[in-house]
Amino acid sequence: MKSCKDYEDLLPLYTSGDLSSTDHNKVSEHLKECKECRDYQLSLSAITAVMKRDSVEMTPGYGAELVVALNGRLDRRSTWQKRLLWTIPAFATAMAVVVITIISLIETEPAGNQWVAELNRERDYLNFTDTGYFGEIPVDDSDISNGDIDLSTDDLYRDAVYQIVENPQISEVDSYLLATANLDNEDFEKVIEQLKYEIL
Amino acid sequence: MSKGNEKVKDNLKPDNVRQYNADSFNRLVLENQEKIYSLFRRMVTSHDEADDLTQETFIKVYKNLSKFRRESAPFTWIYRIAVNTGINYLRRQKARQYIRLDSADLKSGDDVIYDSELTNSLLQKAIKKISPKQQMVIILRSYQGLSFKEVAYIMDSTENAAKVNFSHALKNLKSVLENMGVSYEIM
Repeated sequence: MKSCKDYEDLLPLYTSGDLSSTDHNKVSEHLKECKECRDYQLSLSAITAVMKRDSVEMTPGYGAELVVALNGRLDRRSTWQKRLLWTIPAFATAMAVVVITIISLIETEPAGNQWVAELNRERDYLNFTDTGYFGEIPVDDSDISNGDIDLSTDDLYRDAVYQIVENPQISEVDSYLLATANLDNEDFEKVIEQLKYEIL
Repeated sequence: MSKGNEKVKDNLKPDNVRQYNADSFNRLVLENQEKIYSLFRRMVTSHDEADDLTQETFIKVYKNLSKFRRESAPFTWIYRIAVNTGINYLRRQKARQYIRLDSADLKSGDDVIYDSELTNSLLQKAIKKISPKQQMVIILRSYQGLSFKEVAYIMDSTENAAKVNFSHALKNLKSVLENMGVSYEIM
């Protein structure tokens, strides 16, 4: 058997006429017996009756006014949207100009460190030599005249003997001097020994 | 190109599409403005507030016209947008009321009822004291006369849930009115 609490939950729908016929009949039966529930249901009926009687007064022409107001708002919105659409490319162009200016400033600034200087020199070298990147690097002849070429002792002997014995264009004394100019005492002795052997 | 094709092509021009959308939108506004305005008028105190909410609702309708799938009647879809707009508004209002700690209406001598007009305004006051969702169910079902099936679609719930919500709302409304010192015999 249902309690008053159970019927209390059904009473609002009973009042609004939204119960199934079976539930409606059950509630009607209960209301005949229960004064408390009957009072409760009467108060709900009073509330819904006031709601049904109530109507909202509309200002004449409100619909037309609303349409005008809405179209005005939508037009203003669309104007702003168009303005914003123009702003985006303008902003993008301004940003591009700023970026290009910054990059060109960086490019024209002199190399601030040794590494960059080296890199620039190497780049200039590759750009301006005839041989190109994979070509032979030309030898600087000045190194030879400065006596920086490393020759072996045997080469020196052979050169000295050639200068003394076989070179006809220089005098005998000069040839001795030239031949022995780069030799220390020990080597000088050896050259003399070799000369004795060659000449005698 | 045949004349028929030219006509279709003309209709698809952006200006024509915009004009077509504007015409359909204006028609939707005129057909539904009364329902939507009266929903908000019962929810809020002044005409200006109801008008603002009505406009806000139709602006949302315009923005979302392309999303309307025509699976339901246009008026229930518009109601759905209106109810969400209304519930959000009521929640913001309630938050402000909590900040002001405004309880002056309860048990005040001004709430004694003498005629039906006063009862209507008192009922409006009482409705504003229940939760936003319950307010909406009461307004949609009792004032606007929508079926629970429609209420369920608008409130994005099931029919049973809408009935339970309505039942609780009516009971809460009765309690609020009692707290305000309302006598039902006068009503």
